[in-house]
Amino acid sequence: MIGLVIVSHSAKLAAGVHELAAQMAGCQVAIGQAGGLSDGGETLGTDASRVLSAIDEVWCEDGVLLLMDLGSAVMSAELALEMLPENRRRNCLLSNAPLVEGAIVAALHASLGEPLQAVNAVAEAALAAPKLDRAG
Amino acid sequence: MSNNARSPLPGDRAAHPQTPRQPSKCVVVTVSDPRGLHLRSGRDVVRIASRFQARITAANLSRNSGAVDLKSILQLMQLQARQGHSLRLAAFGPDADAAIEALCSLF
Repeated sequence: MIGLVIVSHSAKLAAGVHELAAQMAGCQVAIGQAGGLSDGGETLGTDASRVLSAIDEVWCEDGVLLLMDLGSAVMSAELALEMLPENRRRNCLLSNAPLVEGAIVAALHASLGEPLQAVNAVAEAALAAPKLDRAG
Repeated sequence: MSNNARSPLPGDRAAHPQTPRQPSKCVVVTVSDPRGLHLRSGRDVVRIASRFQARITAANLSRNSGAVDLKSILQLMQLQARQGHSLRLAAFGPDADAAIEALCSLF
């Protein structure tokens, strides 16, 4: 079963998304979080070494999917992957999914035992899923 | 295609032209939860639906919505189903009956 890492500028946002995702996954999926800077997340920002630690925490051979908010969160996640040994980097994937919807979908589908690429595909489908029905 | 309204997988027909129409089952359920169909109850619906091979859809009759994939939590949330809304569940595939039976109790 794959692991997930939530990367956000805000430690509180990361914790909140983690809480939502954990409820969808029902304790079956390892979900790490990396929110805020290296001062324990007190300051808004993202930090590659915190992302790296979060990956290490949830690491498993099935892979780890990283969900980011935006901007430097993406860059910190990329940096963290560069810091990983090659054999682990191969099994990590940055998701293009929106953070909240992506984490909810990814957690649920990870808990169903789906593989890394499949979980990412359903999470990224959230990009095209409107919240409001404006068809009428 | 006019006689094919209930066949959800036209691609399958092309791939297996000799295969007769797949079993299908359709029911209407009423949302009983005072909070409507929310994330957690939606999660349980997706979990159960995912155990079946059948393609399963749901449409919110109370909102005249189109049918969405019951195995997708985001599409389920798009139904915006409140308490009292009528949802039409439809399953297509070899285990369609069992899928509908298992899902009915969740609403």
